[in-house]
Amino acid sequence: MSNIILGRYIDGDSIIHRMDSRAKLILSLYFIVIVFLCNNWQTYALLGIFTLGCVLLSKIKMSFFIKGVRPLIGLILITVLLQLFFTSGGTVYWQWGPFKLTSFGIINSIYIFCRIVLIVLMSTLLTVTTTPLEIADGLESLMAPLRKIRVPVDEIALMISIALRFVPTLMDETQKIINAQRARGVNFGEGNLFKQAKMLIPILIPLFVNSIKRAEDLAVAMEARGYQGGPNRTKYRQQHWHLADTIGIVVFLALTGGLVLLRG
Amino acid sequence: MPLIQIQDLTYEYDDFKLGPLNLEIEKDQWISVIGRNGSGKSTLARLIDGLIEAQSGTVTVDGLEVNEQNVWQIRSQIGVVFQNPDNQFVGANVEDDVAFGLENRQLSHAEMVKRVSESLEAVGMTEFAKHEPSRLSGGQKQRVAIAGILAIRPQIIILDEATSMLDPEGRRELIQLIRHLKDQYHFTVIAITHDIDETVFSDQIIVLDQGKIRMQGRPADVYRNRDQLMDLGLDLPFVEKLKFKLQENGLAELKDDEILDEKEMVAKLWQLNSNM
Repeated sequence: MSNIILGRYIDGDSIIHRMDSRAKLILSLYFIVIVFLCNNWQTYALLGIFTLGCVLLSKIKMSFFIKGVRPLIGLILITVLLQLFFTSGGTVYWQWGPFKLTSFGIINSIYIFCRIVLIVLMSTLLTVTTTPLEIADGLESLMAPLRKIRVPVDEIALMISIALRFVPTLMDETQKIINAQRARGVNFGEGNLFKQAKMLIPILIPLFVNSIKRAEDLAVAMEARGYQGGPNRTKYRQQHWHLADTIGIVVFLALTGGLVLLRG
Repeated sequence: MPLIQIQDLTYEYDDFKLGPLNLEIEKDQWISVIGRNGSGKSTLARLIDGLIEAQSGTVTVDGLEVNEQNVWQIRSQIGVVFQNPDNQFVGANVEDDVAFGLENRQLSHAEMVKRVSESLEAVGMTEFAKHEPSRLSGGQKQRVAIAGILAIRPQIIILDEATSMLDPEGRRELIQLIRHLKDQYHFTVIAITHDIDETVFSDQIIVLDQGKIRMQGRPADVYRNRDQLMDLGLDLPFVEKLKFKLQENGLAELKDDEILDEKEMVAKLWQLNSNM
């Protein structure tokens, strides 16, 4: 669990940290779209340099980003190998049954590799520079237009924020239950797959029952504090759109222009 | 007119029956409700706050009857601190949690910022404003819960076994803090507890057993009925126990004295010692 970097916030003070979460969310999604505009080495070079610039701006050590890519190595490798051996066209260097190594295949697999790495870098950049809470706030305000089609945006936002708040609490509790069951003689992580799955029951059932208890307590506490649901609430956490956010959007638009020009 | 008036209140579930209860609570008092597990203490608190509905009888808070129309108005006058510090922490961090009640009351952002910082200051948690609940101790979380209640400026604060999951140090600190805040903000405290040591400074103690009021009165009067308290599964506070043991061992002078805390006890013993 501890080696997953994607989705973990690292405190810092940089332009990217201070940007509005709404801007960061929109731009990260937009980045994934414009990655697909790339179709030659110039465009990939431009995007690569741009991503590297963003990473440097965040003042976070490169090693964090490398760790972010690491768990996905298997996935990247499979995709790259599939591209490498199953793309036809161009000069054929080597062939064996359905497998063939072609010039197109080599180029395509390099492009795919770059594409995945760029997307992973950008999403890691989003999650390491934005707290989960800011992401939830950003999502809430981006979902606001959905209120018109009767999507309960406020309830969804509250649910996300409570869920995030209880993640560490439930993690602690899980660990406690695991230790308590161990002390009573349960051996975790032994035997075949079926046996291991069965061992999870003494963890999951108490966790489930306790969660219901917690939910009840929390509901009573919320009601006692005047929570009536719905959109009739003011917000303590405020989001501020800064100049940096506008500049960020302009830069991304300029980047899109550059990519379109360089496209072969 | 009393602040809280309870008339012929009954509430039943499964094989438990509360009441019929009649009770009057005056303004600015510290009321302790004590009784063993299952005596109906928490049920009483929830009935006052309108979190559960009585089968018969009425509860009136500050002139308003607790019913479906008034319940939100009454709740805005009452703050409750519950037992489990983790399960009542709604916000993602300290200041968010304190602001939760204010958001529900639709206060403006500027007013919320002011009240949140004031309340955190009052409970001494200002430097923890940005901390997440997982980084706080149980006692600190209860302080945050109190700050959240102070922010809404209630007339009544109900402590529903608020100290029962804390260590002795944390308990003492929390009770001290609430006593101090009570002097400053002038609210009524209804403290539900099964720790009799916490009842020592109350203006009135109400002893519940099996849903009925068995004893009611000033601490000194309640503590005098030692045998009856024992029968109800309760004990005496430390100073009372000491007084009793000293009497048993021949210090008859202590018999009718009202000695409430350790300081008074020490003073009394000094005085007796110099008379000998």
